[in-house]
Amino acid sequence: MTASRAKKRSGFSAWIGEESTAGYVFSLPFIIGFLMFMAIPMVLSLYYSFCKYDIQTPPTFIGLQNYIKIFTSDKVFTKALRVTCYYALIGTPLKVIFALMVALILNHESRAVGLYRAVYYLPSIIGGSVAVAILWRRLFESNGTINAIFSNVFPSLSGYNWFSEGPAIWVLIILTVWQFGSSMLIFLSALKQIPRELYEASWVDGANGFQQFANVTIPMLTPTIFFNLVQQTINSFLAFTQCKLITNGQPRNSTLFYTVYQYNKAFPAQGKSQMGYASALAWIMLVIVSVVTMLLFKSRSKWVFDA
Amino acid sequence: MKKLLALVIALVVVLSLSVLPAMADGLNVGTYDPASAGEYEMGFGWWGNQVRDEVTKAAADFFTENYPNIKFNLNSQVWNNYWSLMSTYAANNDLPDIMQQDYAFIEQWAQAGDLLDLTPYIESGALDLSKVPQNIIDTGKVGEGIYAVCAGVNAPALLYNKTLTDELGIEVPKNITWDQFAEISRKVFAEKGVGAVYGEGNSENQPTYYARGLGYTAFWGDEGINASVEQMTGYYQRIMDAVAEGWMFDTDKMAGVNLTDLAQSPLVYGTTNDVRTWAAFAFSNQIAAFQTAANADGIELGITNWASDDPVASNYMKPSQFFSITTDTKNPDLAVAFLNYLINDVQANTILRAERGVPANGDVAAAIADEVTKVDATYGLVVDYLAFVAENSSPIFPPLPAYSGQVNADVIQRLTEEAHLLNPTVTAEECAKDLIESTAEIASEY
Repeated sequence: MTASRAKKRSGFSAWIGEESTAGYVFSLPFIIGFLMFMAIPMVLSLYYSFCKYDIQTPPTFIGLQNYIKIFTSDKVFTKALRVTCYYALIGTPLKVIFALMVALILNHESRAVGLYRAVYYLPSIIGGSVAVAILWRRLFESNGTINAIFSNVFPSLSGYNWFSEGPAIWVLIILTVWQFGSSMLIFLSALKQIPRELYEASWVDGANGFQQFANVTIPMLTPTIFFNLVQQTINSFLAFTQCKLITNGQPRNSTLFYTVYQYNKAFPAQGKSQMGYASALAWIMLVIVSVVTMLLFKSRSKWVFDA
Repeated sequence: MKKLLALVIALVVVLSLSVLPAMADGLNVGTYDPASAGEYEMGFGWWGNQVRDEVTKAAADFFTENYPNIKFNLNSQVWNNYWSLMSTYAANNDLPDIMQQDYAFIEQWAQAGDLLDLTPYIESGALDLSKVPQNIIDTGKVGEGIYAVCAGVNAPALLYNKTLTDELGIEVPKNITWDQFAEISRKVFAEKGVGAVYGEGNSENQPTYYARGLGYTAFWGDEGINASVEQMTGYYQRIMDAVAEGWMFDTDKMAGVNLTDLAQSPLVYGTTNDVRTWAAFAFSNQIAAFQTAANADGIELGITNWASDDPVASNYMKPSQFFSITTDTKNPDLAVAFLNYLINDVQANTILRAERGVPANGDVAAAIADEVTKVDATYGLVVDYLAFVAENSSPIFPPLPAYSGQVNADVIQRLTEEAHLLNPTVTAEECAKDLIESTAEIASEY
């Protein structure tokens, strides 16, 4: 009605009345945000990745030199990449398995379940925050809470240095596993959608609880597992705060996340910025994440059961 | 909230002022009258610590009290974050009006065109440096211009747990040598299990101090490090020996403590002896903040020089930091007036209580001595120490070349961690060779 009436007017008021205009106006905030914070910076960073650029003076084009240096002589790059892959490939499955376990436990009708769900979801809201990172550092300090608890059970472990080379990366992995909440919620809703009759039918056929879990629950959950895996893997590759605040890559870069290395190149504590080099690092990471995601999607047909 | 804040501010100011002699007439701001500037928000950035943050805020508030039209936008960071943040501001031409600067970096910043040449203001008398010794003024010189004014004088200082050494009957000597330092460290470690850390891992300070002991006033050259592989081998060997003996923190142990935040330094923080150190390689002006943190454990700190085989050749007096006016300021005259206040005003410096080092203005340093000693018992120690260093030191090195920051981050940090390994995979000679070669490479590419 309104549209047809508007059409009879002319000029600006006609144009403003059109539905397509309203559509553009409403999507404008997103379009502006996307252009300003995604599209333009991405194009710029692609250009900078072929430049020597220190932010303060205009970039100078140097071709592939950044990339050549990264792949041929940058040992920290290799190390950071290895650390990040280790973190993503160990942390993510652990996190998804943990989320599934908690979801199974909470998938019961009981009065307190709502409370538990909220409580277990909390870490994933606050887990990436600065405050939790600092808290985490304190927890694992040589005289922190974790050691205080452990030394009661294993006195020989008192004063154990969690931040030494080796265990330090596990401090970060444990933190990411602890943030299982969002995956858990997705599992919970998926569990609710598994048709009851599948369980009833298998029960009639004589399946026990474990067989039901292995042959009904898991296959029905595979699309959800797949989704969680993809999402969490990407998140792990892009993790930043935890490393920056808890270990800052120490000791000997054994906990240096790729994103933190990139940040240190772009915004070094001393010396001038190597923004071009950091941009090249960023684009390499984009390719790596895309390849990993593609591999995951390729593997989909092998193990994901689509009903 | 605002009321509470105002109350706290008022309290701080009152507390600081209660120790003042009778209010002098107006503030020492030079020839420009800040009251004529209209409403203005002045940006002021520094790196520092809790004590510095409090006193600087109080000094700015006191200025506002006298000139209500001037408000401040204060920006305080820890050292490591400060420079990356300021670089970002510089890229946006959005630097604070006044920024704290470091001797090592003024040349780079002045050459990048971010700092204002103060020469015309000094000549016109708007910035009064008549009471600052010429050699101190010259430390702010880059080329023909003066781009920075010394905020205070300090010297490298080994701050140590005097309560602990007294308890063990150890006397920490003046002009301490490395062998004496190692001997004390061994004894402290054997009896108390308290170790030592050889300065921050990502800093040129320790290698420079070491090389000065060998006679290199200028450790850094245009094309790399002046010292030879054989000489720097000694530096890394000394670390490896100390780690092997157990009293120096190894790489893993250093990762377990916080060496960047002064309040969490193992000298003053940590509940068990194995994460504590008996000494910290710091600077003389930092003793106030260290002592504040140490009070929680009832520790009294002592002060001596950084250990070196030749302390007189190694040690130096240094402008602890500078104040610079940036080219992004919208009212240079006002910024100069405020700078004048920070340098020459007795009340301002009483509030600032020499936390940035002993004031470069000799008259001010003398005028505040009694009052500052009342609020900061360490001030006397610092003045005595600096008087001693003045007689037992060599001229400071020239400002660092621009590439040195990247060497710190990419090379020195890495080699420090390698050399501190409990089971090192490289020899001291390889470390020294790596240091010299990697530095030359960075210098050539920079």
